[in-house]
Amino acid sequence: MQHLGSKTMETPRLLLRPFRVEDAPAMFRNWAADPVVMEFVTRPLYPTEEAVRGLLERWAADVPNPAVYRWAIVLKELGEPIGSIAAIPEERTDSAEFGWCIGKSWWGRGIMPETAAAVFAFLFDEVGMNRLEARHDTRNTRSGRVMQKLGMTLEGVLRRAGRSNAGISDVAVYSLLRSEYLARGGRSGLLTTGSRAVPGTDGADN
Amino acid sequence: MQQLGTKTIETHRLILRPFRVEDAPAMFRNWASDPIVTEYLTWSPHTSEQATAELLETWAKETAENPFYFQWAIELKSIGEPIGSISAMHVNEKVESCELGWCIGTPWWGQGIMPEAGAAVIAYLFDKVGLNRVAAKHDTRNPKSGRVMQKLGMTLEGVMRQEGHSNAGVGDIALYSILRSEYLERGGALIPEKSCGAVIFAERWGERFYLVERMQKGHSSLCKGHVEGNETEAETAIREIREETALEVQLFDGFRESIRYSPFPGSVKTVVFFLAQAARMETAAQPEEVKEILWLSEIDALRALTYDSDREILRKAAAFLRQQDSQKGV
Repeated sequence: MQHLGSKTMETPRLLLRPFRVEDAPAMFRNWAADPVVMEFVTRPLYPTEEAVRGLLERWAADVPNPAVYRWAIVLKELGEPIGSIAAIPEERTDSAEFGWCIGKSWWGRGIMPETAAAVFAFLFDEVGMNRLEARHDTRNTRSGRVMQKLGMTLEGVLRRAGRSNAGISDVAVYSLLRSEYLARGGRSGLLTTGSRAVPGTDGADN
Repeated sequence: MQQLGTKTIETHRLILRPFRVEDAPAMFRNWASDPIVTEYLTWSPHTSEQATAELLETWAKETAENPFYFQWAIELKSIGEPIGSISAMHVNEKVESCELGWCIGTPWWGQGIMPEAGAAVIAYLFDKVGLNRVAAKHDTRNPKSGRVMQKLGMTLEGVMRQEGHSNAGVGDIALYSILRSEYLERGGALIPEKSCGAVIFAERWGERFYLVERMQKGHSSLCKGHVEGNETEAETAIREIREETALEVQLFDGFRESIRYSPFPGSVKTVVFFLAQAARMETAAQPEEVKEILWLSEIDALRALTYDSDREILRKAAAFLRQQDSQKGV
């Protein structure tokens, strides 16, 4: 595993790039202060633009660190961030655990699968990771559907093991292994499991 | 949650207590230097007693300073030295959870010592510390560890593929847990034990005499012993009576009483008593356990028995016999 940091990437609809302090107004407006978006997020709500700016200052300071993987999800047609995706690496097992969220105006359009597919491909192909993991509060089935679309395998449900803004809950654990990713033909195979192709992402390796 | 830290807990065979720097020679000799013990662990076997002592110094410091640090030495009473360790790691105050980790020297594998230690620690974490979830995980190539989790009544939640790394390399990790609600539903009986025995009596000179055993350990009790294999309760009682007293008995129909108590945290013992009549009063005590066998009147037997629970059973048996007498018009 060779850490490469949050490299800027493009997909058909999205630009994935490191956060900047200037993203504060869009992040505040688009998701960070929305209790519906933040319901199942472990981080607290950011009630003011100032609070968001404080967070982004810390995130911006992390950008030069090659072991930090956190991207702003910029919708090209809008030209501003509508969500975030991050992976926390675990050196000892060449693995990483994901977290993501996106403003509710953009829910249900396949944006999270499109984002995660690009990030997964980067982490498997370029960084050399072996295992990518994502977890969700079992009450948040929407998030589970994204994991299924990405071809991840449900490994188990950890009972009363998580706490989000919605309280203590059961946590579903999904993962995708490098061997499975390669068996499905790498990045072009990520979103084409069965009939679950996501509109706008066919041939995602632009 | 209570910030209790590592407090001493006693079980049948074990004393679970904080480590001391003086444990270094025993820890090094009994498990920490053994590559078989560390095969599925993340740390390398210690190469010197000095290295063990240095680690123990950091543990002693943590134990003294951190009220959420839980690391017990598993001391075997019969040898008076530690043979392994058990700890509660990753204490998460937000969800009131932790993860257990343990290891024990190979001479003591397969004797039920880890379930005994684990039950006591889980009971402590739920009852005293106030946790809600206790997890444990093992490399799937190490099923021995999984069996301990199963014996403790933990539930397999999933297998995290290629998520583990140990001295055996990358491995799949099985994850188990037990919730406070499950622990309470089982009445704290993580490792249930069961014994069976009988109130034994004989008739002489128109009087009834009851059998009381004076045990080598110092107390006096009714005849009973652990259930072995697939025995029925009655089979256990008859076998134990034969082994401890050399009496051949018939069990009475219609009498079965049981008592339950907790011999140590996390364990609940059930003892089932039948009623048995001995035709003869000649006995032979099993010397390893029983010092002396006494035939006593009801009043003397009640006086001789050490535990109230045994006295209660004897009273019920005597009352049962009197009722039988009155039905027969004796």
